[in-house]
Amino acid sequence: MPASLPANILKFCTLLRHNGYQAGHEESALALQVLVTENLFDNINFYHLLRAVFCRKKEDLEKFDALFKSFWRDRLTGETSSAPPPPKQREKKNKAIAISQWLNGKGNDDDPITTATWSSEGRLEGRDFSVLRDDGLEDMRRIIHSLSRKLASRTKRRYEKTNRVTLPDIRRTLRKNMRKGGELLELVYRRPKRNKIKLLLLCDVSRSMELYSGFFLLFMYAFRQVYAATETFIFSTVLERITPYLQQSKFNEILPLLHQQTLGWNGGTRIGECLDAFVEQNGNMVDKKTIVVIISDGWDQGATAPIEHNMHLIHQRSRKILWLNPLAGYTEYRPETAGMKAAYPHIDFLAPVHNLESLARIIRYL
Amino acid sequence: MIKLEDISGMMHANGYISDPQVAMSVFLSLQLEKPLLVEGPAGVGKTEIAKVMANVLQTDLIRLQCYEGLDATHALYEWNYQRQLLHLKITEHDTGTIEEKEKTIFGESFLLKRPLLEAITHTRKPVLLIDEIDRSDEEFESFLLEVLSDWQITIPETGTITATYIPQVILTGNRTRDLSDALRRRCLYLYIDYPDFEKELTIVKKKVPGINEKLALSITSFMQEVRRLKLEKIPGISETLDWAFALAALHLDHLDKTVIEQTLGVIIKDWKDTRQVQMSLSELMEKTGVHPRVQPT
Repeated sequence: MPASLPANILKFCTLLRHNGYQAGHEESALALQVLVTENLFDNINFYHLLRAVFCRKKEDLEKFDALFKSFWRDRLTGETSSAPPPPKQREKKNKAIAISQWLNGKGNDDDPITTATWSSEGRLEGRDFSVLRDDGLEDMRRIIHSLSRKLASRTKRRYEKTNRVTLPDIRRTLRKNMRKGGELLELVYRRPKRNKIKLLLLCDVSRSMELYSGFFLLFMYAFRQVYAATETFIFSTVLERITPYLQQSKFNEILPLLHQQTLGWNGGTRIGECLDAFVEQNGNMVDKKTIVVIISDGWDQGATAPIEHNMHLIHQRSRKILWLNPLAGYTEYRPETAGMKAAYPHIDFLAPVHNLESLARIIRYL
Repeated sequence: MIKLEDISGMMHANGYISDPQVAMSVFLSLQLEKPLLVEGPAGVGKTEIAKVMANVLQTDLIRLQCYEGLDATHALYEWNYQRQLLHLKITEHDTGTIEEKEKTIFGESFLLKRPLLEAITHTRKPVLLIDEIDRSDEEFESFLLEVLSDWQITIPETGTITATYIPQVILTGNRTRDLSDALRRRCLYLYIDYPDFEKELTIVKKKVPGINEKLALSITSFMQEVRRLKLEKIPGISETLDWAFALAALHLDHLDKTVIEQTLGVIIKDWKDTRQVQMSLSELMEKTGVHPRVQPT
């Protein structure tokens, strides 16, 4: 074994960690242990070994080849050079500035925004999200929190059979034991049927949604925190899954993370292509218990045919599709943008989300 | 101990065509006694790995099929309540203290072993297949973590049972839900994708003995092209094999348009997909070099 190998494997592990891998010393030790005991020093085995030890999910595998090549190219031939610096992601930083500005209450002060649904009492619930400042942020979070909690703990009126010892199901118990001469040998229990739904949120973060995306991020975050069966994607020109980032405990930590890790904030919109990507890569996540919530204004630059096709597919697989459109809150709104028109036949509910009142109404559809 | 070089051969002998990555993962999981998490699309042979591994190790396969609502009692053990009750009834007039009776009804014979307990108490090192783990609930997943790390189960009435042999665990998943990082960290990971042309051809030839060489070739290339279409349910290897079996049973030696149309139901399981394949059938056949037979006029 070359003397520099353990150090290099540790360095490689660090490089992987910088790239989002869940790899630690344990994995490095494992790799070394096998290398030494099994004497697997030829290039092919070495590659497969590291791949098997360090990768934990499909995304890891996809990135692995490039990282492996860049790191071991010089080293495998015996040379030692300093480790290449982990890829910097600085250039993405500016992409979510609009949101941080929104959250900090900067930036939009001179935007002359008037809304049709401004509540006269000035209560928080009636305020349009697009003019909300950070002074109301805490309250808003609280309200969303309670809404989503309500949703998560909802049960149906019917009962279902359960194996846990809870409420006895007298009717079923008697019926079952009738056959055995009425001796109560088998006990059956029941519990209120849980309304188990999975939520899949697809949120548009393109420029036209800029004013709202900060709020929806909060919405998705609050949901994810109380309702585990939630998957979250954002899209503009590309589709990205952000569920793992929303698992962070603090909302303030999520924003910088999202700036770093994701592309496509406040760009254009290609709904069709993003839905395409969604169906292809993550179509499995949608089943008959899934409610798909799409948050977008329907302004689209791409072709409408893929929108129609994919909306049809998603509609078939899912329980229902809810399209939340912030613009639908205006009284004069009609679903007339090309994207909206294409999607409209496959939507179960088109609802406005421009303030918390409308949001509370949505919960009823779920 | 099994050597890395032998793994491919042994799996091949049991009818599984592996590649270096599969061999390495299986080897590592055997060597390190770590669970192996296998992910990939439907019908690419995830479950098959466990079956083949059981054959290679010449041991038993214990299968735990996961589904939504699966809980610990279904996976571990249950007391045979009816039998206990009947036993008490029969021995009602016996003279024995309550303690003695209690001892008998909480004995081994009244315990219904479910897969996990079965795997732990097995007399040989078994292969434990936990199928479609992503379909189970999060609670079950965390429960499983506990079992997978400690390999012991506590039954309040009798005490703790520790594994005599640590089972060889294979978990499979379809990516319907994201598994927790904690579970991933405890496992080795393997992703199996649809096979490339050569691999699929080898599999067809191996699994369908006596198939016409030319037929195998055209089936494989046709399937490779079908997967490029944007279908809702992409056919896996199991569909290819079904189709190959079906066509071989019909004693065909080549593909033509009528045959494909008639047997399309073997590989395509969705109405819309069927329509789509039928529409692009000519194009597909051109690409795969299957030409419609020229009818003599």
